[in-house]
Amino acid sequence: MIIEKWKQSHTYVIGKDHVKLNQSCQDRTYYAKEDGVHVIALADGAGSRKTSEIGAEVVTKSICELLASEFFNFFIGCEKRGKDELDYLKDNKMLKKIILNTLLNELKKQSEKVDELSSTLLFCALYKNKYIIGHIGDGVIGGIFEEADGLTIRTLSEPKNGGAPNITFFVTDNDAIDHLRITSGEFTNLRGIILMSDGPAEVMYNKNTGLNENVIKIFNNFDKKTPSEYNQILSKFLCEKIANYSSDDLSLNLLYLESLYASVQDTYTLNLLSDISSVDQITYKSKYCVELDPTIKSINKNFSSIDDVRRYLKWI
Amino acid sequence: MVDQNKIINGIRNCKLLLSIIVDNSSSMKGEKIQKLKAAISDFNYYMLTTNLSNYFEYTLIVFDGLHSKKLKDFNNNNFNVEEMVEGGLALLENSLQLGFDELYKRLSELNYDGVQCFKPWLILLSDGQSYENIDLAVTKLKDLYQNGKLTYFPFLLSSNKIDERLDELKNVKKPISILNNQYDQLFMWMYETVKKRVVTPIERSMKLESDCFDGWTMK
Repeated sequence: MIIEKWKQSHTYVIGKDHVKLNQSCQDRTYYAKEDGVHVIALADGAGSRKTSEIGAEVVTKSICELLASEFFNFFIGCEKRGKDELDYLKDNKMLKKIILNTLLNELKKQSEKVDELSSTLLFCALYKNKYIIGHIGDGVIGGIFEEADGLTIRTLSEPKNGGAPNITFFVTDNDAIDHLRITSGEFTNLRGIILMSDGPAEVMYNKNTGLNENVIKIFNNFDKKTPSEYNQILSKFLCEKIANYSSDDLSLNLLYLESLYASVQDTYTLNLLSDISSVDQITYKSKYCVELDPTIKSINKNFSSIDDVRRYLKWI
Repeated sequence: MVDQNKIINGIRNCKLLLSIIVDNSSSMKGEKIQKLKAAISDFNYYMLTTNLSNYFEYTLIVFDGLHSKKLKDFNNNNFNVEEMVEGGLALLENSLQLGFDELYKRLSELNYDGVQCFKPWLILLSDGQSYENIDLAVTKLKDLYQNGKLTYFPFLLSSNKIDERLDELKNVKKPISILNNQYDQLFMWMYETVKKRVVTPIERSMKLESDCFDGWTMK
């Protein structure tokens, strides 16, 4: 039997340039999950603004919470099927307005000078195979997919800069609505999503060839590690490897559908069952593969121990 | 029961219009939306089984994804409350504008047909959130309410923290918070108040009893 379960890891570390200038790291990441919806976000605070890390923290948290609770309204709003072009464009604009209004409102609670809180923003919300991706400014969003010959990487959203490499678009720009890119749809065989700021993108992304194969290793190395263990490994990776090539702040946020063969001898795999309390949180993807999602709300409490879940799955 | 003779003798050919804006956003999920639906359903049943529906019409506006939806038209009492699915985006500007538009459209139609109407009512049942700025709707509401063209009753469906975007709305009239999801009491109050209004001559204003909110609203 194969057990599948989403897990997430993220980290942000200060770049050499900011260390020299005695500044703090201006990148931030966030993750929210609710009732089967998983949302990750990453923001790179504007280097020219003193408090942009606060802005980056606010926008990542706000967008994750907004999409975790309103995923379906946004997904329907983004959908092209069954709508004429004009309605689709109207809905798309409306969605961007709602997102930017929500973010600006939260930023204004921190400071009236929202320009000082400027940042880029990258996010991805998933519910089963449905997705919503949003991006303003630089950084890269990638996805890994299960193909017949193994995992492959695809660039899902590229960096967009304002005419020069060091000028990009921010959530707080007056014309942010024109630069916020939102896409939605359904993925087939998705195994993971990665968001990266422009720091790691300098090393792992090329505008002609897209994200390189090394990104797949980041996901493979996550196997059989808890998110907190992997957060530390990612930090070390960014500080010791990527920082040799990029002096910018460095951040990554990844969501990974771990897929493991069930074995009673393997404590790690057994522990994947520890937070499953209801049959509603178990989806049979095939006769031999189940997806577990403890974020799914259920009024039924069918299991009170790992053994209960194991018996239900006939995992002997 | 409504005293039919009193109505017919007092205010024949006179109608009261109500635009009710109902929050069915994600924060209303679960028991809250179920109680709200049951209260609306009972309210509609009372209207149909008494003759009050001859003197009163209401529309129900709900959130529907990225839009607002008219769940019930003024002149159609047969609607399915189950179509009010929880989880629409709280787009109050949109809903308030639709509420005004529907109210004054129906008012014009009735006036054209020679039907005299009471000052219309706008009832806002919000759970304290809006995903869009509501400046335009608030300006319109303020204008109508302060110039005596509209009776406005704002209610909060729970004690949730109110979104700052609703501050301007609070300044028009402070909303009354419903205690422990007692939406049946809210709609019962609505029913009784409508009953009282339609038997009060049009030229006279109606006063609410001082204890009418006791027991089901927060002090």
